[in-house]
Amino acid sequence: MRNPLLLAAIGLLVVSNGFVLAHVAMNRSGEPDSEMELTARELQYYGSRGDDSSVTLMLRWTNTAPEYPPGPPADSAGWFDQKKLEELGFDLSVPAGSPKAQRFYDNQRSREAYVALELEGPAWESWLKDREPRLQTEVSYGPQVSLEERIQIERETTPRLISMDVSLDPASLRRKYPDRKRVMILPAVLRAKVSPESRASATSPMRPAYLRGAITRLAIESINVPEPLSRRLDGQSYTPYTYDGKQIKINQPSYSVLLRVGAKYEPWVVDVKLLR
Amino acid sequence: MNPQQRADRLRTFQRELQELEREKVLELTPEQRARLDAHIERTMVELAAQFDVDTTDSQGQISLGMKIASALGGIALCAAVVLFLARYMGYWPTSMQVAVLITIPILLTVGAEFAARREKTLYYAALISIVAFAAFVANLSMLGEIFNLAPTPNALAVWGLFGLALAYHFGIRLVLAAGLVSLLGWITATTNSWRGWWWVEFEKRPEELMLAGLVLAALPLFIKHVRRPDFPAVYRLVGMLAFFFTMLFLSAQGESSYLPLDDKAIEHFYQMFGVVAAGLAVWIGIRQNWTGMVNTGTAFFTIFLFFRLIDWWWDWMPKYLFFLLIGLVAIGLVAVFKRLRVRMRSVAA
Repeated sequence: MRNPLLLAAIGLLVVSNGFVLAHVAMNRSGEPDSEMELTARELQYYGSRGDDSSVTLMLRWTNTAPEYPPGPPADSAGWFDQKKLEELGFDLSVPAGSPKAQRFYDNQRSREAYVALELEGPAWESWLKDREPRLQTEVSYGPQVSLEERIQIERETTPRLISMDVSLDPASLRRKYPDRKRVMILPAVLRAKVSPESRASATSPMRPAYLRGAITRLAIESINVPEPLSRRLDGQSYTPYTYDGKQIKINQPSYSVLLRVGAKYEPWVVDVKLLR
Repeated sequence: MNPQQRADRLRTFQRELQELEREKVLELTPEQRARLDAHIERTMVELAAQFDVDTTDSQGQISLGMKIASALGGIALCAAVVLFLARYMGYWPTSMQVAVLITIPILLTVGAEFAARREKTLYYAALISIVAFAAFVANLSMLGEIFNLAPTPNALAVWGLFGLALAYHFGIRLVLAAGLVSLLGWITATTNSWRGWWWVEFEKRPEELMLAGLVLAALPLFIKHVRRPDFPAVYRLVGMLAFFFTMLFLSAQGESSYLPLDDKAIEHFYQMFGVVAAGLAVWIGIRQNWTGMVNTGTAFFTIFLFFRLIDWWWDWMPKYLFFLLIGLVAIGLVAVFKRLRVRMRSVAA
């Protein structure tokens, strides 16, 4: 094996794997950036082991700045506004009201940043309260589900993890939200969007166009469960509620997962507990 | 010239010599003929012993079959390795997963070297190198999944360099192409990432890929491949495919361009530029005697032209008339290429 190219190939294999393992060790060493106990509401196991034997949990969270918001357009950008977009480095040189705005912002690429997700805190309570008036007309529920049941379903089955802030600097987010048991910081993908002007109608006045931010996705959305913890999830699945033709039955999550996020803002599963 | 090309040239020379002798154009004395035959025979035996080259047409046909079989076998084995790991790895503890993922590409790389030392034609070495490359891709991807790492474009750079190292060591073109595609991906992704954009979305502004493809196609002009004379064609093929596919995409998606023009104007620009660039590629290919470039240019010239014709005529023209016109355009193209060929021959003469 005197050939330098062959040695270089093997060297690349060794060095790149060493780099990955060192990165993992750095992420998991020291005090974790956050640690919280989540349930099947936030970490859903969809599959059974077939051709893919790995057990991965999908991280479900409530997006308060979605790219395509459901329902009628909001009156304002909310917390992810133009100022926040400027801080993130988006090019906002075309005003929201300009005829060129739609094309400009549709074609602008996403940026990578960090999102703060709060677990079952004031942001989630506030989101639930905002949802209540809209639940009456929510099309995802059948007409047989009463408003009270809809509110109960939302409160007891939707993901309690909710987005509340974004920044290019995860350390500044941590300073702002120091509770490591309640606020998780993860890398995410963000976009700038334009909400076009809405004309005046009988019920609402004219609203000018505005710029808003959207969280497109988390950079890490599926979380691997290592052996032997993964065996505890065999046969587990979560159906939030069932309807037997007469009444709604809300199902409690069957497992909880202790999730840590490390110094590099990458998560890992520490423990899995069966709840029933 | 590689040993196989030398053997092929000697065989062609022998056949042509027989023809010249039959036509009484050239007559060698019996001594000259015997000396020449002995020299050719000796050279062929030496080449066959040293490099295991094909010395007959039948051997050449079997070798082509072996090349196809080893490429297809390599691809099938890649799928087998990845699917095997996916099927069973989830039941293993993390330490074992990591050990297996790291060991497989190393063992395969060493195995390819072992095969190359035992077999001069390198069919097995080629097959194992392809699997080693795929195993390394699976290695880093699966480590990323096991440890929930955020995806990074840097993996593309490492795969690209690994592919190049294997390709230049063993002389395997398929692995070279895989390495170059990885490096193209890394360049476009990294230029996105440097500017704060999400690296995956390079299709939103794909002109960087077009430029990178052009640079890649031009690289063999500056890097001489004396030991690997068949590699520059791979650089040109990968580079030109990246260049033309991007242009094809932009000719339909003008809004993805950097150009400060109206979407439709950008699409028309790339539609026209595509035809001109493909024509230029054909012209350069003919002048430089780069067969691959001529074929790529011709293919894209036809694709760009036919897309235009569909755009212009499909909706309003009766279908039979449309296909009649396509046929006439094809005949016209054959006539143009034929004239070009005759002109090239007269220039060469």
